[in-house]
Amino acid sequence: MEPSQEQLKSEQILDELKRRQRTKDVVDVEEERVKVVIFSCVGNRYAFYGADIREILPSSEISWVPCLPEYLPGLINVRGDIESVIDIRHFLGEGLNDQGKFLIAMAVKGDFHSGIMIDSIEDVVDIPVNIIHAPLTTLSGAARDLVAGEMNYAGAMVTLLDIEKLAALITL
Amino acid sequence: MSLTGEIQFVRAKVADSAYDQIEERQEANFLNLFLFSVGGVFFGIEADQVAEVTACKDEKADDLFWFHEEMGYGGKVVEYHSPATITIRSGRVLPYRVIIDSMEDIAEFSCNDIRVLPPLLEPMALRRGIWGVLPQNGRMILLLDFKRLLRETEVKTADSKPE
Repeated sequence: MEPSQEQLKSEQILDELKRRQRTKDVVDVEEERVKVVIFSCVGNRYAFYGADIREILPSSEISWVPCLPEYLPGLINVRGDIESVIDIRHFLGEGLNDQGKFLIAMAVKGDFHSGIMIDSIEDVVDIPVNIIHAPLTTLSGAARDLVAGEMNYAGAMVTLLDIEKLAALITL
Repeated sequence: MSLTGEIQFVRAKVADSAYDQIEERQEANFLNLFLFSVGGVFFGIEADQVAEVTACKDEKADDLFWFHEEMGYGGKVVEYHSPATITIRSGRVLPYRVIIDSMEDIAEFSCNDIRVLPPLLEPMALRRGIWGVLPQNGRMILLLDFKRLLRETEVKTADSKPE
């Protein structure tokens, strides 16, 4: 037998390696994703977990109620149900909304349900959970009490807010 | 009376009784409300709570209060365009009179149209006697119980007194 017809051991090994590569199962682990609602408030970007937001409503007349704190501008009528409205700017350390242009995000979390005034909706998107990281320890300001995390989205930092923490802050 | 007659008589009595119960239930589901507004906010109180409505005179008295001061309008500027004084049947020995603005109407409303306050602000509102909301013609009428308001005020006063 001519030596050239014999497969070299190196060739055998290489063939085996390439065969294994072809037949190797690529396990694609789907990243855990979570829906978030990204909104703007006083020029900054924030987000809520999508599961905590039932719907986004256009601005509507808010009926003022005497004796309530400033961060509760009043009531709205949502298809026959009366809901409260929270001006979240109070909790973000900003001036209260003068009720110009705004939207209302209807938040529902456990027993807590209320409308939350926001300036505008930026996006509603599924994001990988692993891009949400703990807030910087240097984060200061009123928003720190509400923060669930921070993430970089579309080139900008977005602060993720926790509805449960907001509910805990509001005590009457 | 024959047996058939007796049966018919009993059936008629049962029907009448059922009809009375339905009518009574229907009557119980309606509320006669005295409607007014102060500073652009609409209120409704049970008409039975109003003993008297008189013209507002320029007077000061210990039993006379401006509505917006009683209810806590805060820094909101309130203008009274057509003030009137209502005397409330408070059940107390001392009279209780409140100056309101713009008496709107006295009308009957179905209790089915009344909505509870949202849980977030209910505790604060109840302390001021506001117990429900009646959406009507695009506006929200806040339902007010002056007896509840007076009771809450008395409790607050008693709590703040030194022992």
